[in-house]
Amino acid sequence: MMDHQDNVNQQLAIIRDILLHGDREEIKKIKGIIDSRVEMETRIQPIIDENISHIKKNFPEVFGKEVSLEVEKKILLSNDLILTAISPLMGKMIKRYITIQFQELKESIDRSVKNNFSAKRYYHLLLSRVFGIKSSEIILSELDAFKPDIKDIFVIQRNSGLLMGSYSTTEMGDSGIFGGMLTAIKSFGEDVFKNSGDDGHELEMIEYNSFKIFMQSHHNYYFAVVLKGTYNSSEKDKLSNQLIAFAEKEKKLNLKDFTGDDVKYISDQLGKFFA
Amino acid sequence: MDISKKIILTGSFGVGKTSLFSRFIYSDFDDRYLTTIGVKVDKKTIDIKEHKLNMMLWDIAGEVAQDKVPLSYFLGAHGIIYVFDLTRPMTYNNIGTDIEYLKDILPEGVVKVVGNKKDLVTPEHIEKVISSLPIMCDITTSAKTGENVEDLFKSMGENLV
Repeated sequence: MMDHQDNVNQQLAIIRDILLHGDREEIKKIKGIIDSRVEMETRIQPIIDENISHIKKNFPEVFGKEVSLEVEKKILLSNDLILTAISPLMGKMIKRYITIQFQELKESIDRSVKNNFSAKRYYHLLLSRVFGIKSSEIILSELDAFKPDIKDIFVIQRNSGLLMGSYSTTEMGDSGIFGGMLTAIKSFGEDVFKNSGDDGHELEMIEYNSFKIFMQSHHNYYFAVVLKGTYNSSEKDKLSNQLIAFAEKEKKLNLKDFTGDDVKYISDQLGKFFA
Repeated sequence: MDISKKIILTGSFGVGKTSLFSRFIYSDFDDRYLTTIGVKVDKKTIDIKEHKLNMMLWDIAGEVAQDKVPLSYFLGAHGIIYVFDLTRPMTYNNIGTDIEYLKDILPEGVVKVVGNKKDLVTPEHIEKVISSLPIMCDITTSAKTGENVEDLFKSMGENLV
């Protein structure tokens, strides 16, 4: 009985071998391909390349919506960070916009000047030729809104910061304290940069809103001039020359020790000279 | 006659320089400790003999050693008030070196050495601290109660005119 069963099994195995031979060969071949990286790459890489190329060509259609949603989500979550990052850029853009607008205003003035053959035009031309100042700058400086306006002038002893004289058109508070604090700020700035290779240079300008404090140093003292309005290089030269002229005229400015009477005298002379 | 003089208040941090400054100028005292940033300049005019003396007071941020204070703050000063805290030895341990340094940079300046916060210690303690110092202490003050504050500035003024 057992022999008969064994016989049947053997015959079935032979039949199975005959029938499945082809399939087994095919499976062996496929397994060979799967197990070999080179064989796999040869077959799959073209498909991947094709898909990548398709995604590249059609990225907005394929992923546009998902990317938009993700970016929107990130922007909402990082609002503060983004603002911090773009604020300086916005500032630069605004500054650039204003500069361009001013440039256009200057150019428009230049154009109108070109068409104007008045005596003033020839006067401006003369100034431009002689002093190298652009016509637009001359016109701007002639407009009241742009005119540099001297608000206050202080003469301050260099090291001590003591006030040697002042001429003021505004209510600025105590001039003595102003002189002291300004000297402290100046000293601080000069101290900070003394090792930067810029030794010998001094703080020359402080800007606050539309006000500027221009400082010009002399041997024992410095002038601090509070200005309002536009202040170009020609205005700076003009003011600097006026201060030098005043310094040459007033010998009392070189006093090492001075009294209240000296302060009053210097203040009166400043008033007469700059009013 | 009107005269202006620059006076520096210096010393280690937390010794009460700003409190002395406020007590003298505004007759005011604040218990809160607010550290001075950089320097604060203020003015008080006092009558000394026949003169009106404008004291331009520079209250400088405290430093553990005087050579750490920006040198430019001292330039042109006529007087220096060096303040230490009677309750904290670390504020007077280097007093000799500090005063020597200040006299070097301002040989003609008037220097006053002041022990502050006397309201917090006993007279015996003050005596012990002062006798341990390598230099003379000119006056002991309390910015809190105002004791000796006017006298300190008046004595500085008298030395300056």
